[in-house]
Amino acid sequence: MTNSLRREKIADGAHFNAVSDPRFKFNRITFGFLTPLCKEKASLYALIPRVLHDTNANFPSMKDLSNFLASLYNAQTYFEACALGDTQFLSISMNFMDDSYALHGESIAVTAVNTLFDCLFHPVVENGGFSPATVENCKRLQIEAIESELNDKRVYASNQAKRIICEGEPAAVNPLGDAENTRAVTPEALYEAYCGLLKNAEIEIICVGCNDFTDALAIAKKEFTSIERVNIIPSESAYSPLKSAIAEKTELLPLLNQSKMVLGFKTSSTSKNSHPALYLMSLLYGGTISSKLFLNVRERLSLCYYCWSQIQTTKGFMSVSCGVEEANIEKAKAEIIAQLESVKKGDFTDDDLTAALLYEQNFIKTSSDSLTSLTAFYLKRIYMKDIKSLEEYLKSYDSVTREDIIEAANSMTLDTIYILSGVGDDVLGVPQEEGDE
Amino acid sequence: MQKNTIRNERVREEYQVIKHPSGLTICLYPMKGYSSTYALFAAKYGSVDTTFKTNEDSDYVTVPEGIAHYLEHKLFENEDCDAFQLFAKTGANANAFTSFDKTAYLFSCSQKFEENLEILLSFVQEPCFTDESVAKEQGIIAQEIKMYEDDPGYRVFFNGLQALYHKNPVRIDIGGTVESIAKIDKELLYRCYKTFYNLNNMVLSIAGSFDIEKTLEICDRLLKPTPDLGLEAVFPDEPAEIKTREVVQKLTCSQPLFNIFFKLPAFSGYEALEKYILYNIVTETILGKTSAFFDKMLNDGFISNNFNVGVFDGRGFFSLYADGESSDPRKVFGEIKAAFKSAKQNSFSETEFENVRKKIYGELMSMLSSVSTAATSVMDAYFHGNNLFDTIEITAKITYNDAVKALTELDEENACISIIEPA
Repeated sequence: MTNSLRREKIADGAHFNAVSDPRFKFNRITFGFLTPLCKEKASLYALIPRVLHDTNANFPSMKDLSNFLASLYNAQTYFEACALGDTQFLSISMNFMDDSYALHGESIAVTAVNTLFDCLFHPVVENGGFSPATVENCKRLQIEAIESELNDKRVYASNQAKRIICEGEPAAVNPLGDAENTRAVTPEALYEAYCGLLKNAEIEIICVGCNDFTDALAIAKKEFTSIERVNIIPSESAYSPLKSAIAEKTELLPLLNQSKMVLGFKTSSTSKNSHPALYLMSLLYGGTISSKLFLNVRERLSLCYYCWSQIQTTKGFMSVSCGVEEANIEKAKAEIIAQLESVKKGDFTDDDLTAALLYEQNFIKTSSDSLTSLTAFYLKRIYMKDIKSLEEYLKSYDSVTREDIIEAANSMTLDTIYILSGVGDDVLGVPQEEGDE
Repeated sequence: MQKNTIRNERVREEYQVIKHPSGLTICLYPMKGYSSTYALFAAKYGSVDTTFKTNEDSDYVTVPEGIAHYLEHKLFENEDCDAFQLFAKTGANANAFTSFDKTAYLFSCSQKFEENLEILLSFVQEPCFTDESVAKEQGIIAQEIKMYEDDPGYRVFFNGLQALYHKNPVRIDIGGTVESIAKIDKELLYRCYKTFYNLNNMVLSIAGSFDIEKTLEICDRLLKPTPDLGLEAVFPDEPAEIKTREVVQKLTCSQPLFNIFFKLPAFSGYEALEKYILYNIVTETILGKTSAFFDKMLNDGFISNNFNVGVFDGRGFFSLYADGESSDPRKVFGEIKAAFKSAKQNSFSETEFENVRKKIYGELMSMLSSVSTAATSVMDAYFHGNNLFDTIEITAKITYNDAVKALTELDEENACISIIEPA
């Protein structure tokens, strides 16, 4: 499928990972900090990749850097602040084309890599802090990003449910932080936090593409020679404990035509060895177009357009999400629970299990053709401290039996019910053309 | 069987275009070293095709809105079982989509390609609609429609099209409405199927890891020849001017969303592709992330990183757009028009044009690195009467003067804005 991962320690708690494969025409480098999620620091840390990604000491103007990267055939920087279990993952990535496809024979790779590392290690600094104007703008954008979660009701419902499922745990914290703490960030505090991450956070650099990444490795090593790496803070996740009573919450929003429901189930199985069985159980139950949820909740009962399950092995829970008419919420809930009960009783065929296995095999093999998917695959394996090639990872599914699926389903207990429903006057929800009353 | 090799030396890639005796055009793009395969079996039939006739019809017929999408949902069921069940046995990831001007059935797989292709070719050619199954689907599609009704990003776009166009059916929601889909029955579905799912009106596009000879053997065995029915889908005459300057709706969202459209006449064939590239470069140069406009508007707090510009085009429609979120969308609208006007009067930086040209060239190159994007782009190019590499060649050769001329043809006042305000 793909060449295996080369992993090298370049400083305490900092690793360089590379997969080179000549079939690709592009390359992707992701530089990520991993740090424990906490409410007090999440907003501050989330701002760091946002501030770093579009300027550096050589290009203090965003416009100039954008133009320079455009001239490198759309070599783009991307930033992200997301959650990996109880960990906040803060990254800047760059995609760049292979030199051999440039229109005028320009060199792209070395320049692109240098630019990325300049953003990371040589930011614009004024009076001991990041540029105040840049920080203010980034704070506005971050607050808008936090608040715009509401725009996509599926995502909003899923995130709200996760906050209840993992209540009191780091994973319940929004990896983008919150508006109040974002407003309070100063340019000096942000720069200090950035220096702190460079010093103490776990760092993973993941490179995937047609390049051999020797230049990237050399540049990364050189940059780390001037960084003192001490007291590295480990990033870990713990399984979310089952609540003593089912948490139920209904949230009302104006002008909502369709309700969303998310059910959270928690597993009592704590062994990493059970992950393949949990994944396959979730696929068989609600992860594919031949799953029990799809065939029954959608196709047989016509209750939903979407109804699916997803397993979070970093936190040991499975969520089931659906969009449903408010009047049908109880009917959908009963069917979702009934279908899990049927898996618990072994009410599935060997063909169902084979279908789930084939789907997972297909998904993993297909992801080997995408730079983004490969990066995500290896990041997850590194984070889980279970580094495997795609082929090795797939082998871990071979030994999953029918009994393992039944056991995985029986390990699940309902923990949370979250419902998002509409309230109010739907007359407002009609487009008004200019001049309309 | 007529075979053509489409090769491009600049990117060192090639694919085959085969006119099969059944009437179907088959595009095959093997990609060396890739593990997966992506296949689309698509009809030139989308939500805009609501009025049509064939040489078997005495007059034009008009069908309910949303029927192309409804048909897409129903085609997965055949007499014996559901196509999803068949794909489940191979592990393929199967899906389908309906857009304004096409409907595609697809799968991606990393194993059992030939088996998957057989399933795809079989179920798309074997419709089986019953009164019961058609009625059952109404509940599912109604939930899909309601899901999108709550989506501000979706609504701001479709409301904008209703402001932009008077009659062009692109102004209709792809899924139709809960009311319009209630009028759909099995007879109408069969009629639309028979009209549009004619192999002469379809394409099979495959990219990634597969064997050409084995693929053609399956096609020879499973494709059912269909006579060309002389299909004509008609569009009402569309005035050159926009319909409404502004449309506003209230929904639950964090801050106003906007979608701004600039109306241009529709183009076709190679000219449409040239205009697509040209106007992409023009809008990106004047309004995109490399521009002084973007820099100022972002720093002044009027737009966010999610501000996008580009070209919205298809069969029978062509416009430029800018979308995003803003505390003051009307201010953004005014500033965009002013930026176009200023660029027309004072021109724009040749260096920035060149940077954007390279950026777009890089974007187009990236589509050749993805099995799914390559197969989809080959399909799109075929439906537009072009080939996959035309966009890359046009971008490589386009000049600054071409862009300046394109800008002069834009009327920045022939524009509308759609706004979603927080409820």
